[in-house]
Amino acid sequence: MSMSTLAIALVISVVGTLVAGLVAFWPDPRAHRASNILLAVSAACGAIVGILIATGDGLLLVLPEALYPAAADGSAHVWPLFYGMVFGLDRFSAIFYSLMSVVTLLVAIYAIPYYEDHAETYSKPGANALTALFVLGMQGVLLSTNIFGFMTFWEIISVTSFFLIMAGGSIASRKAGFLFLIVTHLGAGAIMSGLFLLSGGALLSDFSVIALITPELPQATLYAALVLLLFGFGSKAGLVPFHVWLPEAYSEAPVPVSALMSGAGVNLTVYGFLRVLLFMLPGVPMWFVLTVVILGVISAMVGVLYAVLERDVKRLLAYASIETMGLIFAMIGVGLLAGQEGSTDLTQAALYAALFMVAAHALFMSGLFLASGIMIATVHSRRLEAMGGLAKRLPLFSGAVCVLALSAALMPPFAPFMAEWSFLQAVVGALTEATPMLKVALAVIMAAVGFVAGLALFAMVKLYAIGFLANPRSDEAAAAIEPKPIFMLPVVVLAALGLLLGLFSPLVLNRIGAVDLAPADLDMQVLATGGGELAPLTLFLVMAGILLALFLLRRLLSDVTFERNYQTWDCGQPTTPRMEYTATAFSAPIRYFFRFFLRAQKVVTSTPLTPNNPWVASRTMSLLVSQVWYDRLYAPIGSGLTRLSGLVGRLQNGSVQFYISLILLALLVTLIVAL
Amino acid sequence: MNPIVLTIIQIVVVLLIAPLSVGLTRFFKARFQGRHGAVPWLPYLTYATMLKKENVISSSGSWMLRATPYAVLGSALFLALVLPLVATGGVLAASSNFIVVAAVLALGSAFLVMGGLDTGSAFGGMGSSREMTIVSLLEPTIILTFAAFALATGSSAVDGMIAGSQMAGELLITAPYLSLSLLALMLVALAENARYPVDDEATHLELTMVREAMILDYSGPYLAMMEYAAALKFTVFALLVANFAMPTPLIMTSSTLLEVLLAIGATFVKLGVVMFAVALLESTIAKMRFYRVQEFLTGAFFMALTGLALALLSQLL
Repeated sequence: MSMSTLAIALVISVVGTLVAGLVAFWPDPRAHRASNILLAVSAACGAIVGILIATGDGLLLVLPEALYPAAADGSAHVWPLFYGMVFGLDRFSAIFYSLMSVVTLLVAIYAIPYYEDHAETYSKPGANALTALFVLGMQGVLLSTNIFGFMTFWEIISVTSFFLIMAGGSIASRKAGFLFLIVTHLGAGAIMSGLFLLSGGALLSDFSVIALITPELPQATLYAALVLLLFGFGSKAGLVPFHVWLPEAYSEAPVPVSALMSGAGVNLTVYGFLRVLLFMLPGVPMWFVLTVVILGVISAMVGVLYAVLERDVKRLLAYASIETMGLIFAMIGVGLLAGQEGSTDLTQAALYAALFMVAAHALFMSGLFLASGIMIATVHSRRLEAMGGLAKRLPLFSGAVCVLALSAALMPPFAPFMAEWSFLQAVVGALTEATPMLKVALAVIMAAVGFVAGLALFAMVKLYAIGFLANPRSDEAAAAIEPKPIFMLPVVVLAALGLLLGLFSPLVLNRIGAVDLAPADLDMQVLATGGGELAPLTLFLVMAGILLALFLLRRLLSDVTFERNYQTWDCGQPTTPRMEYTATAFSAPIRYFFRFFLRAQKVVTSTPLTPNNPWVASRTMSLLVSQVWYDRLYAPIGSGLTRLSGLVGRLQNGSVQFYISLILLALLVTLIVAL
Repeated sequence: MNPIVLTIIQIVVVLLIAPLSVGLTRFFKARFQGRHGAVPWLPYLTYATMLKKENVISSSGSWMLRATPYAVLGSALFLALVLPLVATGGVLAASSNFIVVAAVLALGSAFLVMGGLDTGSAFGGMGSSREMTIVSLLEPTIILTFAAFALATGSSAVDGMIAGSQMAGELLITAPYLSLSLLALMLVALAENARYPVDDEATHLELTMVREAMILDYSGPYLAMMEYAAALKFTVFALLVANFAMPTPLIMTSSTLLEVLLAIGATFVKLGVVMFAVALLESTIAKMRFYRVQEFLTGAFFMALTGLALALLSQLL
């Protein structure tokens, strides 16, 4: 396809999104459908363009040759707009553009029945317009090639997500919205100052121009910019300890918005971070790289521990998202670390594993969030304890969720496992040649990834097993029926995409430039790094073949019709759903084993029948899991600020003369400093 | 010899001797405890009987209850196919990458856990919760253990780790620090196969069960599949540990008929020795209270970490 055709399709995807936002206000009952269909169509357009550019040959940026470029090239699709601002996609941003578009497409389809069913909670025109604007912001961030465009669209995303999080109107969602607003603006401020430090204060200079001036920056400026950028992008990605807003925001937002934020929005932090690190900076200091690794590892470990403990389905997913983002940042950090220590194979494998994990995360996390919407709509509760029994009543849907949960648990043959494999295998391969410092770091990383992978399986098995298996724990769950096909379609498609992306991971990785990780001479069916090989398709065929053989053998060796149904054995008495293991009980051993960190407080209160009769009338249990960052980080800051404002409050004694003298004093000090 | 033939010989031998592993352990254990015990080949008869029995399906269960036996047995079969147990250099040897092996192992356990929860009984849930904890906390240990072997042998495929050395105990003589990793692998094998001190396969007390609690509601052919899967996994781990300690004789593409027969004979000996050791262990130590299992798991983890650290250190020298 010619470049001009691609450019036109790209413009259609942006303009179509904008029009979708406007159509939402059309005073007609059809506006809701029209707006979402238009959004889906423009997203489809964008997805095609993104995929074509990301996999195209001879296009601009190839990792990791572009790792420390003297000058990043211009953009593939360039047209001048006002102020000479330039927008465009290169191969790197196209990867994110296509991912974002695929997720948007499916979310837009899902949004049609979702907002129709929740018409009394959410205003359809408002939600649709804000969602379209949110998507427009994401498109703009990826298309921008200068600070002004990048930050403008970044702010559009922040402001629209703020209103979308609050769309439910409950107290909790308002609290979550304001928490999000504070953190995201601290982050945006940090990103903006960081970028300005790099560009020397120039607002409109192109990213490629910034790349030319960064080598001459004084060290202190560069370091300050790096710290600001890490905080800015890290807080938006939900790295611990800046993640406090994320579980609240993801769980309070309407489900399509949660899916969009976790599946597409959060990827932009990785995009921005890598855009600065790989394309604008001559190199980064060792302490910074180590900080990225440590922050990533801590986020992954803390995220997964809280995901194991969480009983609210959306919050569980939010913590799982923190975990995956932590893994991604750890991979990026290891890639940069290896680059500094001279292990170039590991650099390529780790950076591409991180990119592939971003893609996999976008698919499974948006899929799981969309699925959680159906689960919540079915049982009218976000609590896992109110679910159960859904697999029997919603077999097709439960199968799709099972696939999504297993892929989120880093199980073969799904896409996230391929990313994990590439990373771990490259790490093992690099151990022999690595410098002593790198060896220690890699050994620790391996243990940490193993820890995270193990507990991720725990969290996802819990999500699926408590949510879908055994007998229903509530009347709503017992009355559940299979959701409407249009409701279920995006979930099924995302599950299938996760499988296909995993099976064809060598092809995809090769096409986006990982020519060493997925070499073309192995027919693009084998991932090869660090002395190990993995053929995803072969692996899948072996697994499928084994299952088929077992299926046939079972029919050959035993009589399949010789069976009957009977209640579950329980020492001779009938079982009730109240005897089932709950999410709380299921994760109890982990809560106990990690009590030194989690410090969970379980309080069981028994109410006797009468004061002198020990027979129990009712019993309640409450469980409080402490959060270290609240107690040790945010609470001291909060109380410090309160104390400070109390001191400042003493100045307010009501005397106007005193105020005027203060103004005079301030003026004097300013003049002395300024002159 | 053709690699396909190697794989076929291996899978046939392993499938045939799998029930013997369980039978032998029980036999040795009975003798240690002063009982006469059943014949070692009793499990063959047991599984054959189960296949003929009626399949009673819990009315609480969903499709997961039916999928579980296939997934669990499938995972064990995958390991028996790709790992170097009787032969090295088989047709699927390339799939024996240690990260894949660890993941498939975990996948089988995940389905076992989900099947245990699907019956809706408190026993199943309890067993599932415990099994999930053990499996997830073993993951870093497995990765680190195999990483040390990969580092010492230069191969990331388990097949290559064992195929590299063709002399008895060669691996442990050239790289003595690997004995720590091997010990860690043994601890992993005990925990993965529901053995002392983590679990007790012979218990009749539901409150102390881990694996048995999860399969309480399986009967007939499904129970046969689950039991056979457990025996198969036990055999796979036993032969794997034995081969890491003594990688010869194994069938290779260059083997003659005599060597093939010798290797098959050696497999029986290896299995017998390991089962004797397991029976001895189970007759001399007590099972751990579940909430103390973390000490076992932590111990295994640090054993594996030390093994890897020594492997890394030895490269500096």
